[in-house]
Amino acid sequence: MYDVYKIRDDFPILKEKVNGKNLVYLDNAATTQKPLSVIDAIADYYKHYNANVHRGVHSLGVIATQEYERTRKKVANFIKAEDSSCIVFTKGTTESINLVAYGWGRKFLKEGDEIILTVMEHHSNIVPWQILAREKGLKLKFIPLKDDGTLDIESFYSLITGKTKLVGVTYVSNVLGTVNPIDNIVDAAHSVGARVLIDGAQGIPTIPTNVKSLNVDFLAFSAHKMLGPTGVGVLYGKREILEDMEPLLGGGEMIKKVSITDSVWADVPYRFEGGTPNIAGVIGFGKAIDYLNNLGMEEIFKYEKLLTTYALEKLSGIDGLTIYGPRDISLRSGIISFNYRDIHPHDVATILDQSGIAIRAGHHCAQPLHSVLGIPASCRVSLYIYNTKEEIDYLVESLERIEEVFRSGA
Amino acid sequence: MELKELYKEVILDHYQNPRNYGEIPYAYSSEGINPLCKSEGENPICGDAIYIQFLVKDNRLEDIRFTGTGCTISQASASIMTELVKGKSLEDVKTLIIRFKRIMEGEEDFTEDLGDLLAFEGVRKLPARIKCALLAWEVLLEGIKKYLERQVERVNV
Ligand SMILES: Cc1ncc(COP(=O)(O)O)c(C=O)c1O
Repeated sequence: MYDVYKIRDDFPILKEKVNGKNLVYLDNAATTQKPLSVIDAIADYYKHYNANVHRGVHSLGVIATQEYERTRKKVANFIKAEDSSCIVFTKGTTESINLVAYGWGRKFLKEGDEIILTVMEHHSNIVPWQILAREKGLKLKFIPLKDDGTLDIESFYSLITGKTKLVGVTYVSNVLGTVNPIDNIVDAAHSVGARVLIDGAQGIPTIPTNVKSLNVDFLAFSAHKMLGPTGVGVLYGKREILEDMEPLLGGGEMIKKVSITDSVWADVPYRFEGGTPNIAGVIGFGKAIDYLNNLGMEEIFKYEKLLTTYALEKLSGIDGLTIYGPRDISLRSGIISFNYRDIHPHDVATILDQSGIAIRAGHHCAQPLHSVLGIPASCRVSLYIYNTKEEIDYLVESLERIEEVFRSGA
Repeated sequence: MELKELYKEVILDHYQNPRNYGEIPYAYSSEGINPLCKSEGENPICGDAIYIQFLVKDNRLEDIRFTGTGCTISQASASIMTELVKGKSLEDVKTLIIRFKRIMEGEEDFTEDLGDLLAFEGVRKLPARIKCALLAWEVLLEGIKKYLERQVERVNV
């Protein structure tokens, strides 16, 4: 049985007051809160076995290395990767995507090659490709949206050609909540020999995922959006592709042998982890995965659908509120963006904040998508495992009161 | 903080009925002698945008208009600013902008002589919104600096 109130007890921050009110945290797509087990694991590392990894022969170094590597195994199991050597630790999704752009793209892409992205990408899956395109003379193409906020897969099939070398798609849109049809995309891309990169930042936290059966080539995601600490991310890559890639950072940890004239790269994944990594963060991330596994990803997925259905229904009932993204619950996740009358999202967010409700306002690092939608900004509510129906009721009540502020001249 | 304190009547009024909104008609600026100055800026985090046009005559801001999109605070602040600076000497305008910035950043205090700007006392308590209040002011300051640079270039030619 999924007991959300019991889950809430594990998150100390949910007992905080904000502006004198109980915190209602609905900005989980930006970053999620952390359970005590994650917070404690980080403190334990610093209190009891703080040491660098992969270097010392002394006992603390051995324990730290074991714990750090244990997380790599947990991550591999979590996404059903073939082997833990396919898991590279980075500082987040952004770095993971940049690693693909520079470690793989710079080496293998040539002038005239094409990359297909979507108009719903986060800036972190657009900007690195723009930089590389400028450097190499590549062509970027974008898959458009249909009216319901899903990808126009038919246009994708017409965009893809023999020159397409990479298709980069977000698993779940961080604005529309749209869940993209990864298997169709992978099949079409592989049929022309293109690689597929999935930005999993918003998908991995809630959708049970098997990278082997999805057959993706790269998958990027961030620990901090799935109960883990900030400053830790993952790049999953197929082993044979990682083997051929160049490192992003040269330095310690990533070499086998260095002479004055030349160096030999270390094996994957260490080749991509130059410098001392975020050891405490990676260890904390291991506990976050344990927490999610204990609840069960299938259960989490079901609960999020339930709560999202409830939220969509309640929000749709508010007069003057426009929701963006698909209405069909099977096509979307718990990220709901909207605009309320002609009140600017900033004002909505500030007023809700005074009621203790944390939402996001702005373009959510997806300016191209907002241009397509024809709006400068939006409000975004994003749900996670510890949110409740009561919180959604409170959000709806608070939204309905906003207009009073403007009508009465406060 | 009470919402009343943030969304003061003055702010809502300027938001709903912005003063000096629009563009300075082209005919008004006799190109070359009295060129129309333009300046624009955006807050990249939230997409608030402000476009300002102004005319300088005898070192005074003879006319100023703005357009833009964004939240109540950013748009009201622009409207209030245009009222306060119109007709003032460039030096006085620069002084006022710098003073308002210092106030909003907590380095100086509000004083009674600031008129409608006193309405921003509530905004100053919300660090997340200070940028909104300052956007128009930064844009005008940038525009004046560019204008003055051009004057220097012209003298040097
Ligand atoms: C879809 C998507 N991609 C990438 C990112 C970037 O993640 P990070 O800031 O952890 O690198 C985010 C987070 O904001 C996101 O939502």
